[in-house]
Amino acid sequence: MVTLVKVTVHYGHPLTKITGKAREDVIVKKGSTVLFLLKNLATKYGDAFKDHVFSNYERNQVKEGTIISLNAKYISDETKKIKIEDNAFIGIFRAVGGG
Amino acid sequence: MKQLFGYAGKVLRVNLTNKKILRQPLREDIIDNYIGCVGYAARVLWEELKPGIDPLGPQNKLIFATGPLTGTLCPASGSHEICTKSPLTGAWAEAHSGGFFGPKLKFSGFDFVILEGRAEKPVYLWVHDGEAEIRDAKELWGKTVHETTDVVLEEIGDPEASVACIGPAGEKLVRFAAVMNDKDRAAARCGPGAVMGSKKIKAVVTNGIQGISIAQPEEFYEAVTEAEEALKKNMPNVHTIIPLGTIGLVNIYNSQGALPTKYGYTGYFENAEKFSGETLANTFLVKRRACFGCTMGCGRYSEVKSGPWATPPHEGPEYETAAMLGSLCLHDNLEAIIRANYLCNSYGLDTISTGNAIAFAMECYDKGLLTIADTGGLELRWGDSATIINLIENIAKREGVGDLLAEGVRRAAAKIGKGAEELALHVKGLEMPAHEPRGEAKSTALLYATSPRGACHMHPYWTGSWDFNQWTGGLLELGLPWPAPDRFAETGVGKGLAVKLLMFHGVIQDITGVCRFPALGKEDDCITPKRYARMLSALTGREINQFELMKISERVLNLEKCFNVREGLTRKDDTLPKKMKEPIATGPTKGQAVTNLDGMLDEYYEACGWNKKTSIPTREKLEELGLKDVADELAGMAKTPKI
Repeated sequence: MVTLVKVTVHYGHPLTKITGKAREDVIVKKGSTVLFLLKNLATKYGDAFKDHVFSNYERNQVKEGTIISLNAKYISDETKKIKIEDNAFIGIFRAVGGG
Repeated sequence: MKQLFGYAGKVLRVNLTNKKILRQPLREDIIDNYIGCVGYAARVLWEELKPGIDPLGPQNKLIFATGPLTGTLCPASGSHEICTKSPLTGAWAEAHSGGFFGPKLKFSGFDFVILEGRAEKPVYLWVHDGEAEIRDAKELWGKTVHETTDVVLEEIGDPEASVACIGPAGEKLVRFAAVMNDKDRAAARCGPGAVMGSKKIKAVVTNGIQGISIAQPEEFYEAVTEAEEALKKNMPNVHTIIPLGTIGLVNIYNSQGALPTKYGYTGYFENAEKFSGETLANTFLVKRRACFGCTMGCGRYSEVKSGPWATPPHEGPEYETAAMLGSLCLHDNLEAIIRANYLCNSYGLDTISTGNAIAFAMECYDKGLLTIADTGGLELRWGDSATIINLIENIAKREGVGDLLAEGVRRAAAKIGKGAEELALHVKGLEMPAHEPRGEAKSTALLYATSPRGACHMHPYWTGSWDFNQWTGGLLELGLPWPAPDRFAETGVGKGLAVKLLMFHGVIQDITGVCRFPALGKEDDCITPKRYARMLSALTGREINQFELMKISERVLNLEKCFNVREGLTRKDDTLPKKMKEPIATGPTKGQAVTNLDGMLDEYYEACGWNKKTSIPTREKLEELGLKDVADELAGMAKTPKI
């Protein structure tokens, strides 16, 4: 039996513009990696998303400066091995400062 | 006196009690050792203020300060600072603002304006072309910031002048009243507006055409160009700050569980998108705004044309304002946030402290510590726009429960009692801003605990740029631990040393008189200490490198610390609200808490060369920094623990 899990994905600008939303809930198979999720999202939102997140899509390399977080822990270099748990929060954003 | 390149060269000293106006030359000994702006002001206030004075009494002084880079081609040079003893904290106060006032003050022929004494009747000061005159402000008293600005500009007949003024909140001595300039720019933190109100000075108005002499024009231009080229590569600016303004941080901070929500309950708000930068850009944004000499243009200009929260065009809201008057109050109505921002600007209120005080009142009401009898019939409901708007009015006018909140949350909590002290979010009496330290980074927690002016994310520098953003700020050659550790780690990973170095970097902007934002970034895409040193050297003709500049920053930060020590503050005041030691309740950072502040403090004091037990700089450290006289004075004070 396939078990599904829900993950909440948050986007930072300009991904908010590319996706048309700041947040969405996504259902994936339990045991899916973060990389699998990112590639699914790239398929869904097209080249603009792909270019923003990946420096080399085929080689699964996340672009320098793009931060991927899982429950607020930065995992940009580990997306291939980290699996998504139910009710996780994924963040995809570029560092920004100020206040 | 030799020519001082980069400076206007004069200090304007105005005694409001006897109406004496003095034009004094800059003190070269202070310039040599403290550069200018906050550094100069810190030395003057150290020498001229007696410890223990009432910040709202005539003995206090208030200094409008600029630095050598203010008003030059240096990127984002439209800054000034206001330094005084804070009526909110009783400690060192510096409040930074952008806009045009700082450059125009220098163009008027003065680097500093020192206000002393107390006027018998309301006055304003008109500073122009090397002259200054005290004018009657009877007709201005009671007017809002926007009204005052319009009336004064018409009265002096110079629409290009810059007005820094207080609104009704400053007149009513609200302890977190701001000094607003150019209508919507705020020098707000620590309550300088209340100090102006106590002195019965409504405004300082300035303009002039005096230029700024440059020692090595070609070298300066090259150094500026290098800085500009670096900023062009700054992707955070390109991707977020330029298109969205600082309010563009709302969605990002929420995604990271660092958006302060429901007054310390959590760092995550389901409805954050409703008042985000993206939503503002698609609804009420009129245009972008930039300060003098800025290529970033982080300012927003917004308007709500109709409806219950209709608001005329004005500048804002910033991220801090949106979060403090939004998620912190569990509030998501962007139109009402814009209205609230406008009211704060009009009345001259710090939006950070105001939002904090309102959310504090909501929690007290929720927990039964404040009742409807205390509020004069006003229900203080979480997330209710009308409650927020009403409380802003009440605070600014010191009416009803607003009179209590106008004292700041520390004093208000003490008066309420019944455990309210444990709810209030402040450090040293300064209300905590909108970077939830448990969710953002533990360096931020350490910064909040140790910043000389109290809980602040930007003074002297946003340390989260290192462990939250993974930026260096150009500090690698100066010893910044790298790579930055996990943002939630506390001790044993170099956070004490890093916070110290990042603070020194921030003081560079404070003493040269420029905006902090261009200093946030990586080695190749921000203005590093080395780039500041290059510009400063060419401007002033005094060769200085990044190491020497950081040493001067260290001297200034130590002097600010000693100002607080002299006022009786010690390690016990370098603390965090109780809630910061409790876990965040929901969202991506659920469970995060500050668990070992004492350990982080030990590491910070050790890095600074301060006594770990008392937090006081050691005599050895002060003498190394050329502050022997400061060490002697502290040692001679009966109240002060031995240094």
